[in-house]
Amino acid sequence: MNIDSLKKCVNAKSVPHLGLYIHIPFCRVRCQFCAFYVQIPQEKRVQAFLAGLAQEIELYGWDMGLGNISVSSVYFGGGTPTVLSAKQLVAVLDDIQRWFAVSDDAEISIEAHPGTMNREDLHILRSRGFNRISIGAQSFDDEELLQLGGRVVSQATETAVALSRQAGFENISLDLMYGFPGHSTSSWQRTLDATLALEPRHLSCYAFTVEEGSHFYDKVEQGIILAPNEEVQASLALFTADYLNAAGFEQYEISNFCQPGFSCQHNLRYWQGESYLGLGPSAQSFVSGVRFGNPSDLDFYCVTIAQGDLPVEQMEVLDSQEVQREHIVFGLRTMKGVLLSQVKSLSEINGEWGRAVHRLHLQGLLREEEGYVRLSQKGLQYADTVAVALL
Amino acid sequence: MNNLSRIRNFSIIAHIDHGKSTLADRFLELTGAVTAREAREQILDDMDLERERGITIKAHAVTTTFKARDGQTYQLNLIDTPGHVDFTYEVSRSLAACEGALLLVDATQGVEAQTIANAYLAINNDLMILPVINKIDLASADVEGVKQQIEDVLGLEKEDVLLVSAKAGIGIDEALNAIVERVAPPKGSLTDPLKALIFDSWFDSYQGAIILVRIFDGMVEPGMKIQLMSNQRTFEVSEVGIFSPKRTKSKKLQAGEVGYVVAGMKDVSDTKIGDTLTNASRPTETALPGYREVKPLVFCGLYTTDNADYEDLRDSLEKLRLNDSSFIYEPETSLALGFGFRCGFLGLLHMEIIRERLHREYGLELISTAPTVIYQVKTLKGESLRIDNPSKMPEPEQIEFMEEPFIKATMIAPERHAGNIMALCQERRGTQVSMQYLDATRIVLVYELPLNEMVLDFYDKLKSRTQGYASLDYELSDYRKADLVKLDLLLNGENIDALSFITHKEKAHHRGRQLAEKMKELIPKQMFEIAIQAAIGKRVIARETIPAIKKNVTAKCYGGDITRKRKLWEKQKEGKKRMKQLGRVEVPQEAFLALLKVKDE
Repeated sequence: MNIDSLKKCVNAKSVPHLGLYIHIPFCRVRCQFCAFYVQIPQEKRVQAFLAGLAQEIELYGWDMGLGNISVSSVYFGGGTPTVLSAKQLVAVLDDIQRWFAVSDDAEISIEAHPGTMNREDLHILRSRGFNRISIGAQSFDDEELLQLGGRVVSQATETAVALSRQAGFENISLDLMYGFPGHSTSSWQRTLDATLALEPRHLSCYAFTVEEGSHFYDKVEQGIILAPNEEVQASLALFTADYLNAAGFEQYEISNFCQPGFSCQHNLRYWQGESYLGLGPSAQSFVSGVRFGNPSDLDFYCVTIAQGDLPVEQMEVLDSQEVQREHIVFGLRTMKGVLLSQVKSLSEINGEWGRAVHRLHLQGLLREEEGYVRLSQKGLQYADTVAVALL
Repeated sequence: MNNLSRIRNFSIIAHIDHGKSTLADRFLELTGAVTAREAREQILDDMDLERERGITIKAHAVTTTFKARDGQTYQLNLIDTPGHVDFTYEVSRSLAACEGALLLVDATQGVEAQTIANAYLAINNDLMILPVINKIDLASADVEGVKQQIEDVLGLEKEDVLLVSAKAGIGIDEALNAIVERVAPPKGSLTDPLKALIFDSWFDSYQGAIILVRIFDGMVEPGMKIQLMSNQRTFEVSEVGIFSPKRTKSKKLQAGEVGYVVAGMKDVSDTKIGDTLTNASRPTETALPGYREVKPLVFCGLYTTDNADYEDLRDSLEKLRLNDSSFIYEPETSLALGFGFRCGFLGLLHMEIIRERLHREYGLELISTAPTVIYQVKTLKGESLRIDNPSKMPEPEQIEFMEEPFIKATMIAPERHAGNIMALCQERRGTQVSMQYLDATRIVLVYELPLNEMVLDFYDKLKSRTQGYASLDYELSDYRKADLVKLDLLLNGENIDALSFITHKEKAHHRGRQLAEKMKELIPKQMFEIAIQAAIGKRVIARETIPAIKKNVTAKCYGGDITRKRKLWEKQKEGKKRMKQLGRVEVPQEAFLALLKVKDE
């Protein structure tokens, strides 16, 4: 897409602050449950990607004029960002700081895979600006890890956490997964115990999901493996919230828990209707009510950028009601919920929508308290049902 | 053209897909009514739906002139006929307007059920029948075999058979000459009082009803006061003319001719097909024979998914009815579905067409209940009731006896499928009337069947069990006593009146089980368990349970997920709009037709 076509739609002046997401589309191997866009890192492809990314940063920061907006979070995700060398990652961050107004207290996160982290790299990352690390642990049971196909052992996670801490990372997060076929409360509790022993600040606990496009999806379709059991997942979700709560972690979103003050500032943007700019193949953006995104195609990405165009394929400008509805739908994923006044004012403008809210109250999926509308305990289990009704 | 000897009125009759519309197009081209360049595919079928389904729903009439090989110029009036079993009466009235008919048979398919039915209709109307074999240029054509069938089955002379290929334009001129030579010119008196047959009508928003007529005696012209003999209503003629095929005004229409009349009729239900039109100030003594009121055979309830669209549905039905007086509707209320209409149709195809037009032309999201027939109920109190809606059936203890309509069905198929057809008819409570060989390989089976076994899916099943080879025609025969019960469907204990149906006692258990199973497939899982029960009176005969969905929540919901999920959720939201809320349960549109979708037993 020509940069001017996007520029016409995006009102940069209306954006108070911005989050940047950098998609690193490489992994050593593809995990069985993963449906993200990833490639095996060959040197030539990595170089082409990094060259494209540098240009994309400049196109948005300078040509689009987003560089003046205060950037309060940067998030390197993937894929496995740590497949790249620390030097390469730091170079990208330097580029970002050159073309964007990254604030001094910005949260700068990186996702890491336990098998790809060493002492020296972690030290470089931390000293050059990264201040939060999110480690894909998934489980602390080696058999389960084998089942999930991530090809590491739990020992590696323990090492990775220790190394991160030694490198100076204070804000450490772990990703865990529960409710895969055969998973039980007792084995999940063992994983949680092992996790808590490592004293992370933040935890993401994801119900195992068979994503279309993953290896698991094909296997479930073919009947080779069982689909996850909804009932087990629902009860494990409740167990997780209680167990972590008792350990001093508060749930602040459906799948996210933290010690006080350590919620992920970048991810909160997604649920609070704040602007974010996604860079790299397959990354998605939402800036001043405009949704746009890059296709999952590294070659297209590189070629388009080389021509001076944005690798954006689809763009959608939301009207103000749509923006509000989305804000509410995604805001309800957080425990804080959304302002009652906002729900009320939209109900007044749109009667049909207001009736939908009322029905959800009657079904016991929503509750009102302290001037906020929130998902009830039941609503947490049926958040997508609520989303469909309110979108 | 006042000389009756230079007029020929004829129809083309055929089984579906035997090439009727294509032949009509060729005639129009050859007589110069349209040039090849102007000719759209199948000129006579001008409704989209007609063209898509390749069938003619409304009759039409086109006037052309043709210079025959005797050197004389003739006026040829081609009267098109609807081509489906649901419209037998309309076909018979179109034929009554003619002196001759081309009986078209596909050279590769041979004589089919509708070929025979149409041939008999033509014979009953004393028409000269010209057998025509079409598609003779195809490699698989069996001209000799089909000739033999025509002689053996229809009793027509082999020597009289005309050979054409409408598609390739072969034999068209010869066929037109044969019409001139073999079809009798119309008889009639120019001076007698007006006597004209109405064989079609439709609605024009400026001029009201436009009727197609064949004049038998006298003449009609603008300014004349005319009278409809069935209801004695009078109107003043404002315009007459012909279709050539463009609508062309003329000064008058007179004996022997075919054309249209406009007379400020606001309501097409005034203009009943088969009715006789006469001069109000000088009426004819006797009406033309053969007129009867057309009565719908198949009924269903039509509701909008959103009750707010009720008014739109009413307006749309009103508009459709303007062009189709054979379909009727009246308001009804369902506990489950709210306000809607009970609609009556000539048959299943007719029902499908109306339903599809409501959806397509008027953009309505509809729920239709399973089709039903009219049952006659005699109560112990001595009342006679006609039941067109199962939920209105009296309690069993109040019923002395019930009667259901029967039909006589004629089916033709290759002999090897005879067993399958007989099995199907037996499952559907049929009794065999006769079985005959059509030729060495094909048989004609005649069965008497209850119409209610037919309206569900008989035709589809017949087709699927004969690999598409069987053809079918039927006519209503009579009402017969039967042991019938009403089967109710309950969702979470609540009786859903719109899903009730009437069935034979012996089939009730099986049907009930099938329906409950199908409903389980069609209703999506919801946040709570759903119990589906089929019951006769208070006795539950089948039960299924849809387990509750235990959770519905996306685990990861970040930037890219949001883009993907939003699209998915929007799609789901659209799907929800097409669901009907029954109590707490959301039921998709298709579920109301579940009865039609149960698998072959």
